Amino acid sequence: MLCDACHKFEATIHYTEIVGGKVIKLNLCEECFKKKELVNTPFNISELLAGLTQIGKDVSENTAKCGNCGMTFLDFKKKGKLGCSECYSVFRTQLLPLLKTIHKSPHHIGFIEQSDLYIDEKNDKVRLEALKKRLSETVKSEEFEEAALIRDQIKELRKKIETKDGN
Amino acid sequence: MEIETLHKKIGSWLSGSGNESDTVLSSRIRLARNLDKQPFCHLASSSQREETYNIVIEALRSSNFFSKGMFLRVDELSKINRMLLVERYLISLEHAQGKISSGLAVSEGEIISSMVNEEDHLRMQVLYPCLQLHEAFSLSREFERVMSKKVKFAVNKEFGFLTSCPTNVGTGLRASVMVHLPALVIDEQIGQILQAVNKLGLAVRGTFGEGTHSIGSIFQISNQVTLGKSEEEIIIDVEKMVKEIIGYEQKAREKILKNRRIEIEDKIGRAYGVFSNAKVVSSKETIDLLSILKLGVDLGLLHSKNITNDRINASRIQTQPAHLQKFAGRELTHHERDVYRAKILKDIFSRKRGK
Ligand SMILES: [Zn+2]
Ligand SMILES: [Zn+2]
Repeated sequence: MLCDACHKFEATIHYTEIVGGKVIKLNLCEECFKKKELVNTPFNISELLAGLTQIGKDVSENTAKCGNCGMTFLDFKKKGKLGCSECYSVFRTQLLPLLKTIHKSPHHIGFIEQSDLYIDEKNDKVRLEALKKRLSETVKSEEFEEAALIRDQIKELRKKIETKDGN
Repeated sequence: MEIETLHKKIGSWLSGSGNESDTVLSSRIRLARNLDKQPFCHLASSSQREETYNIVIEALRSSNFFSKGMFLRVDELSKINRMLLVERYLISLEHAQGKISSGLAVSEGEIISSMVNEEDHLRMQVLYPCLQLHEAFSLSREFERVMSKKVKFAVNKEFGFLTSCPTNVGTGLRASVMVHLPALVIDEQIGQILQAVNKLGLAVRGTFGEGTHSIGSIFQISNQVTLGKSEEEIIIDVEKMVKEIIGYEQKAREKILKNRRIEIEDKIGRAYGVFSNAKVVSSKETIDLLSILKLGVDLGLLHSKNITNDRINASRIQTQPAHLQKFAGRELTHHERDVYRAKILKDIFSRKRGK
Protein backbone atom coordinates (compact mmCIF):
# COMPACT_ATOMS: atom_id res chain seq x y z
CA MET A 1 0.00 0.00 0.00
CA LEU A 2 1.35 3.40 -0.98
CA CYS A 3 1.32 6.46 1.27
CA ASP A 4 -1.90 8.50 0.99
CA ALA A 5 0.00 11.76 1.15
CA CYS A 6 2.99 11.40 -1.17
CA HIS A 7 1.98 8.28 -3.17
CA LYS A 8 5.68 7.50 -3.35
CA PHE A 9 6.67 5.38 -0.37
CA GLU A 10 5.21 2.33 1.26
CA ALA A 11 2.65 3.25 3.93
CA THR A 12 3.85 1.73 7.18
CA ILE A 13 1.74 3.79 9.57
CA HIS A 14 -1.99 3.53 9.70
CA TYR A 15 -3.04 6.70 11.38
CA THR A 16 -6.47 7.27 12.81
CA GLU A 17 -7.73 10.43 14.34
CA ILE A 18 -11.13 10.89 15.87
CA VAL A 19 -12.09 14.48 16.44
CA GLY A 20 -15.60 15.58 17.24
CA GLY A 21 -17.07 12.28 16.08
CA LYS A 22 -15.32 12.47 12.72
CA VAL A 23 -12.99 9.59 11.93
CA ILE A 24 -10.03 10.31 9.72
CA LYS A 25 -8.02 7.31 8.51
CA LEU A 26 -4.75 7.77 6.73
CA ASN A 27 -2.10 5.37 5.53
CA LEU A 28 1.17 7.18 5.67
CA CYS A 29 4.86 6.62 5.21
CA GLU A 30 7.12 7.54 8.13
CA GLU A 31 8.14 10.88 6.65
CA CYS A 32 4.60 12.03 5.94
CA PHE A 33 3.46 10.87 9.36
CA LYS A 34 6.04 13.18 10.94
CA LYS A 35 4.82 16.05 8.79
CA LYS A 36 1.24 15.28 9.76
CA GLU A 37 2.06 16.37 13.28
CA LEU A 38 2.97 19.77 11.91
CA VAL A 39 -0.53 20.43 10.68
CA ASN A 40 -2.30 18.70 13.48
CA THR A 41 -4.92 21.35 14.11
CA PRO A 42 -8.34 19.83 14.56
CA PHE A 43 -10.13 22.69 12.87
CA ASN A 44 -9.42 24.36 9.62
CA ILE A 45 -10.43 27.93 10.44
CA SER A 46 -10.65 29.07 6.84
CA GLU A 47 -12.95 26.17 5.96
CA LEU A 48 -15.09 26.78 9.03
CA LEU A 49 -15.43 30.45 8.19
CA ALA A 50 -16.46 29.63 4.66
CA GLY A 51 -19.26 27.52 6.10
CA LEU A 52 -20.46 30.26 8.41
CA THR A 53 -22.05 32.36 5.72
CA GLN A 54 -23.39 34.99 8.08
CA ILE A 55 -19.83 36.13 8.79
CA GLY A 56 -18.37 38.75 6.53
CA LYS A 57 -21.48 39.28 4.42
CA ASP A 58 -20.96 42.99 4.57
CA VAL A 59 -17.88 44.38 2.92
CA SER A 60 -17.36 46.53 6.00
CA GLU A 61 -16.99 43.42 8.16
CA ASN A 62 -14.17 42.12 5.99
CA THR A 63 -12.32 45.38 5.77
CA ALA A 64 -12.52 46.09 9.50
CA LYS A 65 -8.97 46.68 10.67
CA CYS A 66 -7.26 46.34 14.03
CA GLY A 67 -5.68 49.66 14.98
CA ASN A 68 -3.03 47.98 17.11
CA CYS A 69 -1.56 45.42 14.68
CA GLY A 70 -3.02 46.42 11.33
CA MET A 71 -4.67 43.09 10.58
CA THR A 72 -7.99 43.08 8.69
CA PHE A 73 -10.73 40.52 9.16
CA LEU A 74 -10.06 39.33 5.63
CA ASP A 75 -6.44 38.61 6.65
CA PHE A 76 -7.77 36.54 9.53
CA LYS A 77 -10.04 34.58 7.21
CA LYS A 78 -7.05 33.70 5.07
CA LYS A 79 -4.59 32.93 7.86
CA GLY A 80 -6.86 31.50 10.55
CA LYS A 81 -4.82 33.38 13.13
CA LEU A 82 -5.46 36.71 14.77
CA GLY A 83 -2.86 39.47 14.90
CA CYS A 84 -2.85 40.60 18.51
CA SER A 85 -4.93 40.69 21.68
CA GLU A 86 -6.79 43.80 20.48
CA CYS A 87 -8.10 41.91 17.43
CA TYR A 88 -10.49 40.04 19.73
CA SER A 89 -12.25 43.31 20.60
CA VAL A 90 -12.13 44.75 17.09
CA PHE A 91 -13.53 41.61 15.41
CA ARG A 92 -15.76 40.61 18.31
CA THR A 93 -19.04 40.40 16.35
CA GLN A 94 -17.52 38.38 13.54
CA LEU A 95 -15.73 36.05 15.96
CA LEU A 96 -18.73 35.19 18.14
CA PRO A 97 -20.40 32.70 15.73
CA LEU A 98 -17.03 31.10 15.01
CA LEU A 99 -16.18 30.65 18.69
CA LYS A 100 -19.64 29.22 19.25
CA THR A 101 -18.94 26.57 16.60
CA ILE A 102 -15.51 25.58 17.86
CA HIS A 103 -16.13 25.74 21.59
CA LYS A 104 -18.76 24.92 24.16
CA SER A 105 -19.87 28.52 24.38
CA PRO A 106 -18.29 31.81 23.31
CA HIS A 107 -17.83 32.96 26.90
CA HIS A 108 -14.91 32.30 29.19
CA ILE A 109 -15.81 30.78 32.55
CA GLY A 110 -12.38 29.67 33.71
CA PHE A 111 -10.08 31.69 35.92
CA ILE A 112 -8.55 35.00 35.02
CA GLU A 113 -5.29 35.43 36.86
CA GLN A 114 -3.79 38.92 36.63
CA SER A 115 -3.04 38.56 40.35
CA ASP A 116 -5.74 40.61 42.11
CA LEU A 117 -8.61 39.59 39.83
CA TYR A 118 -8.56 36.07 41.12
CA ILE A 119 -7.70 35.04 44.60
CA ASP A 120 -10.07 33.14 46.80
CA GLU A 121 -9.78 30.62 49.53
CA LYS A 122 -10.14 27.56 47.35
CA ASN A 123 -7.32 28.65 45.13
CA ASP A 124 -5.11 29.26 48.11
CA LYS A 125 -5.60 25.66 49.09
CA VAL A 126 -4.81 24.44 45.57
CA ARG A 127 -1.72 26.59 45.68
CA LEU A 128 -0.70 25.21 49.03
CA GLU A 129 -0.85 21.65 47.72
CA ALA A 130 1.23 22.59 44.69
CA LEU A 131 3.79 24.30 46.88
CA LYS A 132 4.06 21.34 49.21
CA LYS A 133 4.64 19.06 46.27
CA ARG A 134 7.27 21.35 44.85
CA LEU A 135 8.95 21.58 48.22
CA SER A 136 9.43 17.84 48.43
CA GLU A 137 10.71 17.83 44.85
CA THR A 138 13.26 20.52 45.54
CA VAL A 139 14.41 18.80 48.71
CA LYS A 140 14.77 15.56 46.80
CA SER A 141 16.86 17.21 44.12
CA GLU A 142 18.82 19.11 46.77
CA GLU A 143 17.82 22.58 45.57
CA PHE A 144 17.98 23.92 49.09
CA GLU A 145 17.90 27.63 48.30
CA GLU A 146 14.76 27.12 46.25
CA ALA A 147 13.30 24.96 49.00
CA ALA A 148 13.81 27.67 51.59
CA LEU A 149 11.95 30.15 49.38
CA ILE A 150 9.07 27.75 48.94
CA ARG A 151 8.95 27.03 52.67
CA ASP A 152 8.50 30.76 53.32
CA GLN A 153 5.69 30.93 50.77
CA ILE A 154 3.97 27.97 52.41
CA LYS A 155 4.20 29.62 55.84
CA GLU A 156 2.72 32.82 54.49
CA LEU A 157 -0.08 31.02 52.70
CA ARG A 158 -0.94 28.90 55.75
CA LYS A 159 -1.25 32.06 57.84
CA LYS A 160 -3.53 33.58 55.23
CA ILE A 161 -5.77 30.52 55.05
CA GLU A 162 -5.96 30.31 58.86
CA THR A 163 -6.99 33.95 59.27
CA LYS A 164 -9.65 33.44 56.60
CA ASP A 165 -10.95 30.28 58.25
CA GLY A 166 -10.92 32.09 61.59
CA ASN A 167 -13.18 34.80 60.28
CA MET B 1 21.89 20.98 33.10
CA GLU B 2 23.03 21.36 29.52
CA ILE B 3 21.96 20.30 26.07
CA GLU B 4 25.13 18.39 25.19
CA THR B 5 24.59 15.81 27.92
CA LEU B 6 20.79 15.84 27.92
CA HIS B 7 20.48 12.62 25.90
CA LYS B 8 22.16 10.58 28.64
CA LYS B 9 19.44 11.25 31.17
CA ILE B 10 15.69 10.77 31.12
CA GLY B 11 13.07 13.25 32.25
CA SER B 12 11.71 12.43 35.69
CA TRP B 13 8.18 12.27 34.23
CA LEU B 14 9.27 8.98 32.65
CA SER B 15 9.80 7.26 35.99
CA GLY B 16 6.83 5.00 35.25
CA SER B 17 5.50 5.15 38.78
CA GLY B 18 2.16 6.65 39.76
CA ASN B 19 -1.56 6.07 39.40
CA GLU B 20 -2.61 3.64 36.67
CA SER B 21 1.01 3.10 35.69
CA ASP B 22 0.10 -0.10 33.82
CA THR B 23 -2.00 1.78 31.27
CA VAL B 24 -1.18 5.48 31.54
CA LEU B 25 2.25 6.73 30.49
CA SER B 26 2.04 10.44 31.19
CA SER B 27 -0.16 13.45 31.90
CA ARG B 28 0.50 16.80 30.36
CA ILE B 29 -0.89 20.27 30.91
CA ARG B 30 -0.16 23.05 28.50
CA LEU B 31 -1.19 26.67 28.95
CA ALA B 32 -0.99 29.12 26.07
CA ARG B 33 -0.37 32.77 26.94
CA ASN B 34 0.45 35.95 25.06
CA LEU B 35 1.68 39.38 25.98
CA ASP B 36 -0.91 42.12 26.00
CA LYS B 37 -0.99 44.17 22.76
CA GLN B 38 2.27 42.67 21.45
CA PRO B 39 1.71 41.28 17.90
CA PHE B 40 1.29 37.48 17.91
CA CYS B 41 4.30 35.49 16.72
CA HIS B 42 3.21 34.87 13.12
CA LEU B 43 2.68 38.60 12.54
CA ALA B 44 5.57 40.02 14.57
CA SER B 45 8.64 41.48 12.84
CA SER B 46 12.10 40.16 13.73
CA SER B 47 12.69 42.98 16.17
CA GLN B 48 9.27 42.48 17.75
CA ARG B 49 9.97 38.76 18.08
CA GLU B 50 13.27 39.53 19.78
CA GLU B 51 11.51 41.98 22.09
CA THR B 52 8.95 39.32 23.05
CA TYR B 53 11.78 36.85 23.56
CA ASN B 54 13.62 39.16 25.94
CA ILE B 55 10.52 40.03 27.98
CA VAL B 56 9.38 36.43 28.35
CA ILE B 57 12.81 34.92 29.01
CA GLU B 58 13.55 37.56 31.63
CA ALA B 59 10.28 36.72 33.41
CA LEU B 60 11.02 32.99 33.20
CA ARG B 61 14.52 33.52 34.57
CA SER B 62 13.30 35.43 37.58
CA SER B 63 10.52 32.90 38.27
CA ASN B 64 12.90 30.48 40.05
CA PHE B 65 11.27 27.48 38.40
CA PHE B 66 14.30 27.05 36.18
CA SER B 67 17.09 27.88 38.62
CA LYS B 68 18.66 24.45 38.14
CA GLY B 69 17.36 23.99 34.64
CA MET B 70 18.41 25.60 31.39
CA PHE B 71 17.50 28.27 28.89
CA LEU B 72 18.06 27.66 25.22
CA ARG B 73 17.90 29.82 22.14
CA VAL B 74 16.29 27.29 19.84
CA ASP B 75 17.18 29.39 16.79
CA GLU B 76 20.87 28.90 17.56
CA LEU B 77 20.79 25.14 18.14
CA SER B 78 21.97 22.55 15.65
CA LYS B 79 19.33 20.57 13.82
CA ILE B 80 20.15 17.45 15.81
CA ASN B 81 19.79 19.26 19.12
CA ARG B 82 16.44 20.65 18.03
CA MET B 83 15.24 17.17 17.10
CA LEU B 84 16.55 15.91 20.43
CA LEU B 85 14.19 18.32 22.17
CA VAL B 86 11.27 17.15 20.01
CA GLU B 87 12.03 13.54 20.90
CA ARG B 88 11.89 14.49 24.59
CA TYR B 89 8.51 16.22 24.20
CA LEU B 90 10.03 19.57 25.14
CA ILE B 91 9.29 21.37 21.89
CA SER B 92 6.90 20.87 18.98
CA LEU B 93 8.00 20.05 15.46
CA GLU B 94 6.92 23.54 14.50
CA HIS B 95 9.23 25.03 17.12
CA ALA B 96 12.04 22.79 15.88
CA GLN B 97 12.12 24.77 12.66
CA GLY B 98 14.20 27.19 14.72
CA LYS B 99 12.55 30.43 13.60
CA ILE B 100 14.23 33.62 14.73
CA SER B 101 14.08 34.39 18.48
CA SER B 102 12.54 31.07 19.42
CA GLY B 103 13.39 29.90 22.90
CA LEU B 104 12.94 27.22 25.50
CA ALA B 105 13.21 27.00 29.27
CA VAL B 106 13.42 23.57 30.92
CA SER B 107 13.44 22.74 34.61
CA GLU B 108 15.77 20.13 35.98
CA GLY B 109 14.01 16.80 35.56
CA GLU B 110 12.03 18.26 32.64
CA ILE B 111 8.77 18.49 34.60
CA ILE B 112 8.24 22.13 33.67
CA SER B 113 9.12 23.66 30.33
CA SER B 114 8.19 26.70 28.30
CA MET B 115 8.40 27.40 24.62
CA VAL B 116 8.90 31.05 23.76
CA ASN B 117 7.69 32.42 20.42
CA GLU B 118 6.06 29.26 19.15
CA GLU B 119 2.46 29.77 17.98
CA ASP B 120 1.89 31.86 21.11
CA HIS B 121 4.40 34.03 22.95
CA LEU B 122 4.52 31.59 25.83
CA ARG B 123 3.51 27.97 26.06
CA MET B 124 3.90 26.56 29.54
CA GLN B 125 4.05 22.82 29.90
CA VAL B 126 3.96 20.52 32.90
CA LEU B 127 4.63 16.82 32.38
CA TYR B 128 3.94 14.25 35.06
CA PRO B 129 4.28 10.49 35.04
CA CYS B 130 1.16 8.30 34.82
CA LEU B 131 -2.31 9.64 35.58
CA GLN B 132 -1.76 12.89 37.46
CA LEU B 133 -3.67 15.55 35.57
CA HIS B 134 -4.85 17.39 38.69
CA GLU B 135 -1.36 17.48 40.13
CA ALA B 136 0.09 18.67 36.85
CA PHE B 137 -2.57 21.36 36.67
CA SER B 138 -1.87 22.59 40.22
CA LEU B 139 1.76 23.06 39.37
CA SER B 140 0.97 24.80 36.09
CA ARG B 141 -1.40 27.15 37.94
CA GLU B 142 1.35 27.98 40.39
CA PHE B 143 3.75 28.63 37.52
CA GLU B 144 1.14 30.72 35.73
CA ARG B 145 0.44 32.75 38.85
CA VAL B 146 4.10 33.63 39.26
CA MET B 147 4.45 34.54 35.59
CA SER B 148 1.32 36.68 35.57
CA LYS B 149 2.89 38.92 38.20
CA LYS B 150 5.89 39.52 35.99
CA VAL B 151 4.30 40.16 32.60
CA LYS B 152 0.92 41.45 31.50
CA PHE B 153 -0.87 38.65 29.73
CA ALA B 154 -3.42 39.26 26.99
CA VAL B 155 -6.75 38.60 28.63
CA ASN B 156 -10.28 39.93 28.57
CA LYS B 157 -13.27 39.12 30.70
CA GLU B 158 -15.44 37.83 27.87
CA PHE B 159 -12.98 35.58 26.03
CA GLY B 160 -10.46 34.83 28.78
CA PHE B 161 -6.85 34.38 27.68
CA LEU B 162 -6.33 35.51 24.11
CA THR B 163 -4.39 33.28 21.77
CA SER B 164 -3.14 33.57 18.26
CA CYS B 165 -5.45 30.80 17.06
CA PRO B 166 -9.09 31.00 18.23
CA THR B 167 -9.06 27.24 18.87
CA ASN B 168 -7.02 27.85 22.05
CA VAL B 169 -8.73 30.95 23.42
CA GLY B 170 -10.33 31.05 26.89
CA THR B 171 -8.46 28.83 29.26
CA GLY B 172 -5.61 28.29 26.80
CA LEU B 173 -5.52 24.86 28.37
CA ARG B 174 -4.69 21.59 26.69
CA ALA B 175 -4.80 18.58 28.99
CA SER B 176 -3.51 15.42 27.40
CA VAL B 177 -2.92 11.93 28.63
CA MET B 178 -0.86 9.28 26.89
CA VAL B 179 -2.28 5.81 27.30
CA HIS B 180 -0.97 2.37 26.40
CA LEU B 181 -3.70 0.06 25.10
CA PRO B 182 -2.05 -3.08 23.72
CA ALA B 183 -4.82 -5.51 24.63
CA LEU B 184 -7.47 -3.45 22.86
CA VAL B 185 -5.23 -3.44 19.81
CA ILE B 186 -4.45 -7.18 19.95
CA ASP B 187 -8.13 -7.95 20.45
CA GLU B 188 -9.01 -5.58 17.58
CA GLN B 189 -11.52 -3.64 19.64
CA ILE B 190 -9.64 -0.38 19.60
CA GLY B 191 -11.33 1.39 16.67
CA GLN B 192 -14.77 0.66 17.93
CA ILE B 193 -14.02 1.63 21.55
CA LEU B 194 -12.38 4.91 20.67
CA GLN B 195 -15.30 5.90 18.47
CA ALA B 196 -17.83 4.92 21.11
CA VAL B 197 -16.23 7.01 23.81
CA ASN B 198 -15.61 9.99 21.61
CA LYS B 199 -17.73 12.77 23.02
CA LEU B 200 -17.47 15.79 25.33
CA GLY B 201 -15.37 17.77 22.87
CA LEU B 202 -12.37 15.49 23.30
CA ALA B 203 -9.99 14.05 20.77
CA VAL B 204 -8.17 10.75 20.55
CA ARG B 205 -5.09 10.44 18.45
CA GLY B 206 -3.00 7.45 17.77
CA THR B 207 -1.68 5.04 15.29
CA PHE B 208 -3.52 1.85 14.77
CA GLY B 209 -4.89 -0.20 11.96
CA GLU B 210 -5.61 -3.77 11.07
CA GLY B 211 -4.31 -6.30 13.56
CA THR B 212 -0.58 -6.04 13.85
CA HIS B 213 -0.22 -2.75 12.02
CA SER B 214 -0.36 -0.56 15.05
CA ILE B 215 2.74 1.11 16.34
CA GLY B 216 3.30 0.96 20.02
CA SER B 217 -0.40 0.92 20.91
CA ILE B 218 0.03 4.41 22.32
CA PHE B 219 -2.80 6.91 22.13
CA GLN B 220 -3.22 10.47 23.21
CA ILE B 221 -6.47 11.72 24.70
CA SER B 222 -6.93 15.46 24.98
CA ASN B 223 -9.50 18.22 25.12
CA GLN B 224 -10.39 20.26 22.04
CA VAL B 225 -12.66 22.80 23.67
CA THR B 226 -10.89 25.54 25.60
CA LEU B 227 -13.65 28.13 25.91
CA GLY B 228 -16.97 27.93 27.77
CA LYS B 229 -15.68 25.30 30.19
CA SER B 230 -13.70 25.84 33.36
CA GLU B 231 -10.22 24.38 33.73
CA GLU B 232 -11.51 21.97 36.32
CA GLU B 233 -14.32 20.76 34.02
CA ILE B 234 -11.90 20.23 31.14
CA ILE B 235 -9.57 18.16 33.28
CA ILE B 236 -12.36 16.11 34.80
CA ASP B 237 -13.79 15.33 31.36
CA VAL B 238 -10.44 14.19 30.02
CA GLU B 239 -9.80 12.12 33.12
CA LYS B 240 -13.24 10.54 32.93
CA MET B 241 -12.66 9.46 29.37
CA VAL B 242 -9.21 8.11 30.18
CA LYS B 243 -10.65 6.03 33.01
CA GLU B 244 -13.42 4.72 30.80
CA ILE B 245 -10.95 3.66 28.12
CA ILE B 246 -8.49 2.03 30.51
CA GLY B 247 -11.42 0.15 32.02
CA TYR B 248 -12.02 -1.43 28.60
CA GLU B 249 -8.31 -2.13 28.29
CA GLN B 250 -8.27 -3.99 31.61
CA LYS B 251 -11.19 -6.15 30.47
CA ALA B 252 -9.45 -6.87 27.19
CA ARG B 253 -6.32 -7.88 29.11
CA GLU B 254 -8.29 -10.38 31.16
CA LYS B 255 -9.84 -11.71 27.99
CA ILE B 256 -6.60 -12.22 26.09
CA LEU B 257 -4.96 -13.75 29.15
CA LYS B 258 -7.77 -16.25 29.35
CA ASN B 259 -8.05 -17.08 25.66
CA ARG B 260 -4.68 -16.39 24.11
CA ARG B 261 -2.14 -16.79 26.90
CA ILE B 262 0.40 -18.88 24.96
CA GLU B 263 0.32 -16.51 22.04
CA ILE B 264 0.89 -13.50 24.32
CA GLU B 265 3.68 -15.23 26.24
CA ASP B 266 5.30 -16.14 22.94
CA LYS B 267 5.19 -12.52 21.76
CA ILE B 268 6.73 -11.32 25.02
CA GLY B 269 9.47 -13.95 24.94
CA ARG B 270 10.32 -13.08 21.36
CA ALA B 271 10.46 -9.35 22.13
CA TYR B 272 12.84 -10.10 24.99
CA GLY B 273 14.90 -12.24 22.67
CA VAL B 274 15.22 -9.51 20.09
CA PHE B 275 16.38 -6.94 22.63
CA SER B 276 18.89 -9.36 24.13
CA ASN B 277 20.35 -10.66 20.90
CA ALA B 278 19.47 -8.67 17.79
CA LYS B 279 22.18 -6.70 16.01
CA VAL B 280 19.93 -4.56 13.80
CA VAL B 281 16.63 -3.11 15.02
CA SER B 282 14.42 -0.57 13.22
CA SER B 283 12.56 2.16 15.09
CA LYS B 284 9.16 0.73 14.25
CA GLU B 285 10.15 -2.71 15.49
CA THR B 286 11.50 -1.14 18.68
CA ILE B 287 8.29 0.71 19.45
CA ASP B 288 6.19 -2.39 18.78
CA LEU B 289 8.38 -4.65 20.89
CA LEU B 290 8.62 -2.15 23.76
CA SER B 291 4.83 -2.15 23.84
CA ILE B 292 4.80 -5.94 24.13
CA LEU B 293 7.47 -5.86 26.85
CA LYS B 294 5.47 -3.33 28.83
CA LEU B 295 2.42 -5.54 28.55
CA GLY B 296 4.55 -8.42 29.83
CA VAL B 297 5.68 -6.39 32.84
CA ASP B 298 2.17 -5.12 33.60
CA LEU B 299 0.58 -8.56 33.31
CA GLY B 300 3.27 -10.08 35.48
CA LEU B 301 4.35 -12.41 32.70
CA LEU B 302 7.89 -11.15 32.47
CA HIS B 303 10.07 -11.92 35.42
CA SER B 304 13.32 -10.22 34.60
CA LYS B 305 14.62 -7.70 37.11
CA ASN B 306 16.18 -5.83 34.24
CA ILE B 307 12.93 -5.13 32.43
CA THR B 308 11.09 -2.36 34.25
CA ASN B 309 8.71 0.36 33.16
CA ASP B 310 11.25 3.14 33.64
CA ARG B 311 13.73 1.30 31.40
CA ILE B 312 11.07 0.69 28.80
CA ASN B 313 10.28 4.42 28.86
CA ALA B 314 13.98 5.26 28.61
CA SER B 315 14.30 2.97 25.59
CA ARG B 316 11.36 4.61 23.87
CA ILE B 317 13.03 8.02 24.18
CA GLN B 318 16.70 7.14 23.77
CA THR B 319 16.42 4.99 20.66
CA GLN B 320 15.05 7.80 18.52
CA PRO B 321 17.30 9.14 15.72
CA ALA B 322 18.59 12.34 17.36
CA HIS B 323 19.31 10.55 20.62
CA LEU B 324 21.21 7.77 18.86
CA GLN B 325 23.30 10.31 16.99
CA LYS B 326 24.09 12.17 20.21
CA PHE B 327 25.23 8.91 21.79
CA ALA B 328 27.34 8.12 18.74
CA GLY B 329 28.71 11.64 18.64
CA ARG B 330 28.23 11.87 14.89
CA GLU B 331 25.66 11.63 12.13
CA LEU B 332 24.51 8.10 11.39
CA THR B 333 23.07 6.62 8.24
CA HIS B 334 19.77 4.79 8.39
CA HIS B 335 21.45 1.42 8.65
CA GLU B 336 24.02 2.60 11.19
CA ARG B 337 21.18 3.87 13.35
CA ASP B 338 19.50 0.47 13.34
CA VAL B 339 22.78 -1.12 14.43
CA TYR B 340 23.39 1.49 17.10
CA ARG B 341 19.83 1.13 18.33
CA ALA B 342 20.30 -2.58 18.93
CA LYS B 343 23.40 -1.80 20.97
CA ILE B 344 21.70 0.89 23.08
CA LEU B 345 18.73 -1.38 23.77
CA LYS B 346 21.02 -4.14 24.90
CA ASP B 347 22.83 -1.67 27.16
CA ILE B 348 19.68 -0.33 28.75
CA PHE B 349 18.24 -3.75 29.49
CA SER B 350 21.42 -5.33 30.77
CA ARG B 351 22.41 -2.46 33.09
CA LYS B 352 22.71 -3.40 36.73
CA ARG B 353 19.90 -2.09 38.88
CA GLY B 354 20.34 1.27 40.49
CA LYS B 355 22.35 2.61 37.56
ZN1 LIG C 1 4.44 9.68 2.25
ZN1 LIG D 1 -4.71 43.21 16.26
